[in-house]
Amino acid sequence: MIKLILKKLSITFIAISFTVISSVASAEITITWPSIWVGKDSKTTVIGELIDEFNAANAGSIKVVVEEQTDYDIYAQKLTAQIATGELPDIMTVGAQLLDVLHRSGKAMDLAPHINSDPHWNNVYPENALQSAMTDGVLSALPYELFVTPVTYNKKILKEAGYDEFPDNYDDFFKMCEAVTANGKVCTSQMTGKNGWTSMLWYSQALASAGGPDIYEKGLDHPAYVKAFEVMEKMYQYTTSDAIGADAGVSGGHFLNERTAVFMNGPWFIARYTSDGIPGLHENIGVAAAPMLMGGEGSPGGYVGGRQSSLAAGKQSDPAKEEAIVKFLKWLTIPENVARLSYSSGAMFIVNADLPNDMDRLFIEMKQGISDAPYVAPIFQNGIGSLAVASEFPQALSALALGDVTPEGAVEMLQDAE
Amino acid sequence: MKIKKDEVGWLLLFIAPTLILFTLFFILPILFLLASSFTNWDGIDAEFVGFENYIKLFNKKSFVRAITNNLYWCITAALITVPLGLIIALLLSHRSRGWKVFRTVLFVPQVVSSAAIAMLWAAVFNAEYGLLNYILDNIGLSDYKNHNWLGNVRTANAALIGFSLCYVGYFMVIMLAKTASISEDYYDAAKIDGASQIQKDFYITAPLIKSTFFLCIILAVIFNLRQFEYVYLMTAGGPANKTQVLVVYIWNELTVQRLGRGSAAGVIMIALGAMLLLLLRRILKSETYN
Amino acid sequence: MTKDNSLNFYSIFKWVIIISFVVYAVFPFLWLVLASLKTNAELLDNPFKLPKVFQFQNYSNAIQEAGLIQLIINSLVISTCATFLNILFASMCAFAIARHIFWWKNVLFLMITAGILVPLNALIIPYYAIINFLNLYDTRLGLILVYCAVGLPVSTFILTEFFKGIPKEIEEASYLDGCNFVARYFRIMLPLALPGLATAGTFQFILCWNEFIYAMLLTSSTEIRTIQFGISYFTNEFFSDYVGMFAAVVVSILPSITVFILFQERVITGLTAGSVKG
Repeated sequence: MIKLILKKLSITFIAISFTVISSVASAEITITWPSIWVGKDSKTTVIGELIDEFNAANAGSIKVVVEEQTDYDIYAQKLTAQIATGELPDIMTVGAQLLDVLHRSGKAMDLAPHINSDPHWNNVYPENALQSAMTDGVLSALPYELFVTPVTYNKKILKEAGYDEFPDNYDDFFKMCEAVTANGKVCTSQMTGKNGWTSMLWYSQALASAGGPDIYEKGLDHPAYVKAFEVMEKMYQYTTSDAIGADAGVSGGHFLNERTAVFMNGPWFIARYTSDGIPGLHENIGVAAAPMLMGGEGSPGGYVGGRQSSLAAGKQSDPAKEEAIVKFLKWLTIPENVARLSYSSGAMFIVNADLPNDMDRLFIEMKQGISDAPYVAPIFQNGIGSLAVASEFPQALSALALGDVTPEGAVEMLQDAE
Repeated sequence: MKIKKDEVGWLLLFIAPTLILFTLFFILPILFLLASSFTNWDGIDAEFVGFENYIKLFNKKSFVRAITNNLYWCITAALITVPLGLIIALLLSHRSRGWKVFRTVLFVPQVVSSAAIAMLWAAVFNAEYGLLNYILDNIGLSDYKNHNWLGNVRTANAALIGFSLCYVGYFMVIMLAKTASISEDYYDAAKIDGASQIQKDFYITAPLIKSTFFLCIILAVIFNLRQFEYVYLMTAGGPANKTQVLVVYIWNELTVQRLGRGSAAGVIMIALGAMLLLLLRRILKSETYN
Repeated sequence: MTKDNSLNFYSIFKWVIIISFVVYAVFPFLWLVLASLKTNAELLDNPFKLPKVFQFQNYSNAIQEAGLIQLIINSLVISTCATFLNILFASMCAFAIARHIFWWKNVLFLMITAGILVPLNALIIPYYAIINFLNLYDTRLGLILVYCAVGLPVSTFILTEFFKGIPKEIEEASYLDGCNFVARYFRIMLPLALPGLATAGTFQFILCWNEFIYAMLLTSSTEIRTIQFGISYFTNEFFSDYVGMFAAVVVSILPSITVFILFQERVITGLTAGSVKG
């Protein structure tokens, strides 16, 4: 009954949107793109240039119009509303958490036929990157942005505590933390505010190390989930007193101001070591793979990361418009354009692109780390496959850090969230 | 005033715009909320699941916690925030020098984006460099040197409520506006009787704005039942779900695409609010309602 | 003797209370102004330290980059229209409820009051659908309608209370003088309820000015967006330009405070109008 009403409503909406579209239809095809790469985002400038160049090259036939989406939470809610009421924008950026619902809705344009018919895509993407993103032969979203989150550490603070190298296992790591603490500094930046981002990344590292990169297929009952929480419990003994409830600005701020020695975040943070860090911070920073858990199923040097934003398109009835959208997506995935985007923003992309030699040292080290890594395991938030469990994580973690629950109890909290 | 037959048309016409908009933006969405609360709707598929959402919610510790926290907010609003607003309104109603400036200044937090205010107060309560700990440390309470106000189970709710007191100006302004409609005659008469200022405030002004005071209590209780922004921005319900409130809970359910369950939580909240409203009406029994 | 003492004690008490709450309210604002003149690095280092150099260019940057002027004009247009409609509709309805007797008025009043309880955040999908159904997505009218509607319960609630406070005799006298329904509303009740109208109007305006979720949800083009978009312009998924955001916040406060002062002046005018009645 309700399903019927919802369906009827969506049919009405589709009908309305068709009338609107057909009434304004002219020779020029307008593609709307609610983009999150606007405002202060590091990709704003080059994305803007790429759109202008595309519009200039296709003047009179295609025009891409950006709708600025500055608030990510609300953008996600809006996409949910659009998926539910039946009309998707022409092009959209989709975070990992929405990929599944987008695919199931069946309202996204299937890009698989275009990929199969045009050699461009298979030429610019690494082997299997597109095929592995398909579900049942359907590609609802084009993988685009990539990220990894290795350890970044302050060499100066470590040196003062007597360490030249970053430890490769947790026993040595916590000894190092002890030494850093004795030296009057704090070892790690942690947070449980919002999605608990930095701590969630540490947890993901420990998980992959304890249970192997395919840990998410083994279910929440696997002992690795408890083991990884044991690591986190210890980690919170060596962090700032404001870690519980801290947001990304606070935990990042401590590292930027040399109050903490070790931090974990993605490549987008690199530019901030120079812009917002204390003078000379950038030169002192080292990149390393996370420490290993002794006796775990993971391998040394393993990274965590995954698909960041993907590009998707709404299903179209007009083949000309579909062609226009595909043309624009192709434009965004041309290696030279991707290289420009990567160079200006510090972001990583799945497309094979020749990057200039003067990329940031830390960016190059991270890239090197990826190619040396035996695997890049998904981060917990994306790998666990349940939005509800992912959103309960910061609550479980803060309960653990407060001593409210044991590591086993924290896993139970995650299980209860389903 | 009893309504005359020839004026019924006008009466209906006067009610119509509000009623139409109310139906469109409140009644229809609530019916939708009610209908979807019995389904497992996730934005794509919806199946009828009966009372499953409701049963699951009441079995969740964090949801029950959200309800009790909301009640805590409501009680402090009625017992602390609004009475404080009343006191300030009474004091400002003397219209001593500069009262207009104070009225405006006390209203300022209302117009500042809550994201910015929340950021400031999170910084005030911060354990490492927070202003509160700095002050406490300097007046000799060094126990609090590294106390994490918002991250501690014992102090998180209290800190949130302490912060919310800076919004006391909202209710103050309503009550102050009401004092403007009190006739000067009352005060002139009191002056002749030789009443002091405190007597005038408590025996003339306060009783005359009693109905507005009750109105503010009702508003405050309802606003605090809908409490979202302060909690969402400052703790997002943490640590360990200890500061969870209903609307944040609902928002999270929507974020994880359990739309049916989010609807059920919304329905529970409206029902709870309606009960509170009826209860308050009983307790206050003011002229507000007859 | 006792009288004097109590007066002194009372006025000390009064100033202590007023001053402490003024500090409480004004401190965030001062901090905001100060923080908006720092660099992001200084802010992350210690939010309470004074900046080395005052970064006044944060303001010109914010105004230019986010196009704040256009956004403020949009906000003014949308908030003013929504407030006007809201107060007009709510006062008409409140007049009908507060001054007349009809059997379903308590039901009506309770129903509308219960509207205050509704968690608007839970209604994102219905509102999105309704506005699309009315073909008002990405229009100023759409936002005006939504803001006007969501503020109706509070406005009606406040105004009903104020209308009830007006002595019956005045209205009855005008009724005998031959004033009809509409004239009683416009000529007698509205002028007498000015403090109430101004108060409800203040809150309605602030609601429109500060509303963020629906402002982002129901619009897509920058030409019609509100000042809240300008504030969010500085925060992104992974990077926030806090000082730029604070500068935008400070700029956004000025128009709404001006409106507050203008509206509250009406409250005092209302007092004069009210005292004429004697």
